[in-house]
Amino acid sequence: MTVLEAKNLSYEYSVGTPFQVTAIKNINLTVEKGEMLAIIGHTGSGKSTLIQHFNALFQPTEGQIFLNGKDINESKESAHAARFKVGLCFQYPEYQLFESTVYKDIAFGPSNMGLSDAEIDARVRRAAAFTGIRDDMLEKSPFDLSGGEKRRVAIAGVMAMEPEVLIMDEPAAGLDPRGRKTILELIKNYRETTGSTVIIVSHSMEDVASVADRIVVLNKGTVALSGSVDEVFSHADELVEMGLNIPQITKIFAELKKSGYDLNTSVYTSEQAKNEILRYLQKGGNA
Amino acid sequence: MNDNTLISFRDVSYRYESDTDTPLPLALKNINIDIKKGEFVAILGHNGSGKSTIAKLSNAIIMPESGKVYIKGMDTVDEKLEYDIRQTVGVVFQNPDNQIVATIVEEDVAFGPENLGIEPKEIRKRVDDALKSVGMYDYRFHQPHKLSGGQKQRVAIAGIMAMQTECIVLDEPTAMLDPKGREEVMTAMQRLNKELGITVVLITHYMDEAVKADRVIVMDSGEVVLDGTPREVFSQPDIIEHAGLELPESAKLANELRKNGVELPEGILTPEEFIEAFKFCVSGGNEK
Amino acid sequence: MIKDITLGQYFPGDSFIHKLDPRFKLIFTVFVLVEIFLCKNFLSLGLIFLFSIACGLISKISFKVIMKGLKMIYLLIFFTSALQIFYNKTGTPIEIFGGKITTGGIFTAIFMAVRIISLIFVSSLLTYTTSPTALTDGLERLLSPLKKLHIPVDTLAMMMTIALRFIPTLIEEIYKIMNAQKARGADLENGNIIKRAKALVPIFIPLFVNSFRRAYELAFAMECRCYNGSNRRTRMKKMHTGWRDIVALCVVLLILAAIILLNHFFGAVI
Repeated sequence: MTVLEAKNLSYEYSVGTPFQVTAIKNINLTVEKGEMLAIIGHTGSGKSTLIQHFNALFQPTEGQIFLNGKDINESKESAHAARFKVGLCFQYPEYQLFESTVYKDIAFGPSNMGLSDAEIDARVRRAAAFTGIRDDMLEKSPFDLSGGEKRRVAIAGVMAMEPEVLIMDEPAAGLDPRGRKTILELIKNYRETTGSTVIIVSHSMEDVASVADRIVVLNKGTVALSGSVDEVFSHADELVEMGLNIPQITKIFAELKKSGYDLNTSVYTSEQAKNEILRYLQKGGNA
Repeated sequence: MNDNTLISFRDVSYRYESDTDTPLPLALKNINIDIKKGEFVAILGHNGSGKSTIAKLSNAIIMPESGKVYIKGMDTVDEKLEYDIRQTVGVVFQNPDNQIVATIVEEDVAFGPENLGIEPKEIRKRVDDALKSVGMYDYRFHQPHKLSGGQKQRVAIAGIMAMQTECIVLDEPTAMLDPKGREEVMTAMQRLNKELGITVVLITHYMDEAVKADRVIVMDSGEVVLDGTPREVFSQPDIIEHAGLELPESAKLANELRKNGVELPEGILTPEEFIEAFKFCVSGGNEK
Repeated sequence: MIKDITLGQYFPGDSFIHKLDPRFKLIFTVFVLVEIFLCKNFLSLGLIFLFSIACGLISKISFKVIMKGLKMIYLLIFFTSALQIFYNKTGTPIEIFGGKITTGGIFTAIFMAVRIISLIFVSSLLTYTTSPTALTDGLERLLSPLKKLHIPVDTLAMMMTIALRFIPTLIEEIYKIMNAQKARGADLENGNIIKRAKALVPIFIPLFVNSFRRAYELAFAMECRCYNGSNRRTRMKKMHTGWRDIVALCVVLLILAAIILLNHFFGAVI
């Protein structure tokens, strides 16, 4: 079932001035309920502009956004409602923390929804649990936390709205390997537990390959490629041309295939790669 | 300490000031590091491992709690030497937006030399040379806020270059950049090191960047846990993992395959090396 | 959008005007602004208006850009002129659309409009053709006698440069934070004044916190580059007073003389 759909979507900045720029052009895109979709593109490819349409922060210059079959820009109310149904967590979200305690900051979203105190409390605690925020941290000031903890508080703030679709813009940006792993695990876990639809936006192929069901590649404001992880990664040369990096492992396999080794190239992690090479060696009897 | 040593940490400990009464744990514990002229050293470590503290200590921005930091033999505690130290070791920080001072690229690059009281003609020459060496000369009249992250970071590097420092310390310069920006900055750094002989200390948590260095130092909870060539360092997967880091993907794959009885040599780090070793293994294994 | 404002921006170039000594350029601009106010009739005003246009042409900055800078003040021009039309009752009365206005009113309205346009035109030309750093440097040197009174002119100039450098960055940041809080359902558009003021808290607290962090990091970076606030800095770009400045000085003085003569020999409109 389609939960979110972009139809012929275009957006132009500074319309009517000499600085007019087309940010995205004629984008058609559907998001299925419960899937984990990755939107990939380099800086300036239009991915940030696109996702801000999904919760009606931007109004399209042309085209429409449908949420559960309804145009979200139909009325002021529907646009406002879309903010809660489609939760958008921006890049470096820790820089938007403002409340005096972690608890209050996470509660900001839910309380804007006009929920009862009991419901708000329940949601804050659920979101805190998802993001690994301990109870003793809830009463601390968010500004006293470490960088990684702040990031998790900010993510919890969006999760606490319990949106149908959760959009994460570069959730792992600037983190070290351990931090990246933690955040990606947390998103995976959230999606498996709640069954929500998740859109993850990134320029890191390595990060999304392991978690996404499907990938949409944006380039110069249009959809350049879309399909399963395998399908998209089979266009390795095009991806590199668009300024994107394919995982090192995938690069190795593409190279070996070119040299005439009969390997399956839809491999993104060292674990998959190991199995594929072992399979190849056994079958080929070369080892 | 011999004449070739540029940066020398002797039993250095450092502790950040705490807002509360309980003092924070040591950020650095008795570390000893010597960096020689012309080296390209990568310092690896997870966030909070103390690696960024090293950048600030090597530039007399902060002073060790105990131990000594010498820059070409100059003790960083000596205030009279502050200028000489900062003219020897320059630092580039993580956030490119927060280290560019002026509103025009070339004027920002001139900022350091202007502070040093250098002749205008000489500044002009240094600014042009520095911008050319990082490939930003064509952008000299641009406004910094309109540049991409990778471009801004290269301007910041040029700003240090124009001070003609012998060594440049980069504190996670690529952490906030996209793949293209990372590559631009890496290329610029390698050029400075190989062509101009500038000592480069790259603080990072990207393994593929560390692989390109001559030497890798791994930090974990304020201590140096590994120090050697990339090949030596990455042949210690357990210590790397314990330090919250990961092996480069090619090395990880080679290790896994070796465990499963595939005859690959030790010390594979890059995709190219893996491909070559794999081909050799498949054909060579047969001939034997 | 605030992002579209071109006023105060700098467009690099190598025209006659770009190459003027920033100190002199500052003085000339003040001079011309005074001259605009001295104009008493259409002849003198026309002269200074043509002079402004000529400067625009010489600077080689596209008129499209300059007109965009004027866009913000269209309303101001319109209201000032409208006020003149309705309140000035000199000259011959004319009746249109049932209302009574006078020729005097119309003339003053036009006069005011041209005067405001010239004022904005000339002052934006200053910022368009002078890099903010050169402008602050120029100002710093013009004001350097004040150092004797223990006013830290150079530090103030540095503060101004940094402010100019960070304005675009902060504007971008405000947008980001606003969108982030809107995404969490913050309502910035509706409600009474108190409610709206309250809605700004989630925007300004992160902005302040981030600005302090930026300032802290910037201070480190500046220290690393040997800035300490008191050292005698040299400048890459020396300010040369050359033949251009002398020529410009002569032109500006000539225009002053012409305005005085025109004011004297032909009657005043206002």
